[in-house]
Amino acid sequence: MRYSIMLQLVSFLTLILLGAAAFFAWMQNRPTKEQSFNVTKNTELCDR
Amino acid sequence: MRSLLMHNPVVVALGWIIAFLFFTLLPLFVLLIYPPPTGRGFWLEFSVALGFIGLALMALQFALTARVNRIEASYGIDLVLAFHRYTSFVAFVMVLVHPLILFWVQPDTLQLLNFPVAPLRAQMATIATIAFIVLIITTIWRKQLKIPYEPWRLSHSILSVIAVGLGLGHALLVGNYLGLFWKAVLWGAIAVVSLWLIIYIRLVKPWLMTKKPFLVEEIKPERGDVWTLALRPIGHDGFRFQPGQFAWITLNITPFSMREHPFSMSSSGEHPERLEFGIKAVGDFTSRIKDYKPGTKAFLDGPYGVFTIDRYEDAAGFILIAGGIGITPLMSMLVTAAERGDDRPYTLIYANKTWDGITYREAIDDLKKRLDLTVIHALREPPEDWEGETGYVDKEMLDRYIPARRGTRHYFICASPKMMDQVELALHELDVPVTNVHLEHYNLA
Repeated sequence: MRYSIMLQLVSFLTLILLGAAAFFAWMQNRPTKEQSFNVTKNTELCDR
Repeated sequence: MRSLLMHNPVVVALGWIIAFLFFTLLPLFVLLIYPPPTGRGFWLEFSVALGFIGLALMALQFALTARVNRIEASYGIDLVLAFHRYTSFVAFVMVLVHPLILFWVQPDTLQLLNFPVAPLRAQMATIATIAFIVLIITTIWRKQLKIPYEPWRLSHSILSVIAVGLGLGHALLVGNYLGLFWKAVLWGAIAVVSLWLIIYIRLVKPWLMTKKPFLVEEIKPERGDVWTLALRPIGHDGFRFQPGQFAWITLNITPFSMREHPFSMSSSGEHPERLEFGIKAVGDFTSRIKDYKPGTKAFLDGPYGVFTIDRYEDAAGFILIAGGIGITPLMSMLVTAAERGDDRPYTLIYANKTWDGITYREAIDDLKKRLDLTVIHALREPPEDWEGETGYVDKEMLDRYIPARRGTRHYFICASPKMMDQVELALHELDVPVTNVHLEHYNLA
């Protein structure tokens, strides 16, 4: 039973680690202020 | 208040979990303080993250297996080793998925598998991954592959050093994050700590052991194909231990050889001048025990373990449940309790195959005169005139012998994994508080 609890704990921790990896990947790819500004500016230029 | 918190099991467990997550994720999140590289995409960064987490998990295994008393004191070595096995497997999967995502997102990186022309960082990663694969295969299927314990343990150590060492080299040499100061500092620190743990376990600890040698005083046969190995300290006082604990033994060779084996003491914790170990002849090393002669040099690393009655001084009594050679640590508890004049009630439920194969049968009978001890033998192949318990230790049998007020006793189980699982579940169904049940795996290998 203790090993089963341990396995569940490690599964839970693995999910946290995978979530953290996904969060890291998203953070590294998030649009920066400069990029957002350029995108907005380009969109405005295209609209004209 | 602080002391109260430090002794709350939930707080202690949460503390360990937070520490585990912190050390595993720190090398990854330190990268977030730098501006992100542009245009690499989610999946590539996810792959990098898996590689970083996998490597941090691998490095953390050195701490988990370095016999750090503080970690073991909370949960016992068998749970720490179970955590080691499970988290290593998680690290293994992450380390394998890391390049697979890379090959999928950027197929041209498959060229990195062309070993002779690949850059050093890729060569390092390839060798580290192969070492990790071999390490996992030889560990999971050690018995099927018929690898003896000693060569397995040696290869396990060497392969893990190769996997982590080259993995760290790969992480430091990969270009995209190269030159980031804090990244280099962190991975450098991880490398230094891992190296220190290896040096400590493989060189410092064996050197300390050579300063306190032991001699084999006696090797005597017991019932059930078990041998009692008695050791006497030479030029020092030996060590005191809490009954139920174990030590790593090196016999007739230098402790630097990494060929040590864990065994529970079966003697009294009150007698450091003569330490006895009950060893069943089942493996390659244990079958040779009888061939060692008195006067053989021995070295000990210990004591270790939290499977001991000494941690539960306030218990009104103890229920000890043994299967076969699992009697060893429990025998130490009974002998020590008798020596101390402990007047609390002890119940021993002892499962064996045959009446003649009951290890320490006569010694346990003698203990009844010195201790408030009730012994229940359960035999799977009883003699014809047997009137005692038969078969496996199950819920019905336990219900006949444990007191109505379950929580007044502490329960110690040492048996085969299957029997321990069954007994633990049965005790749970009989409303024994989980915190009163303690288990010890007698086969750590």
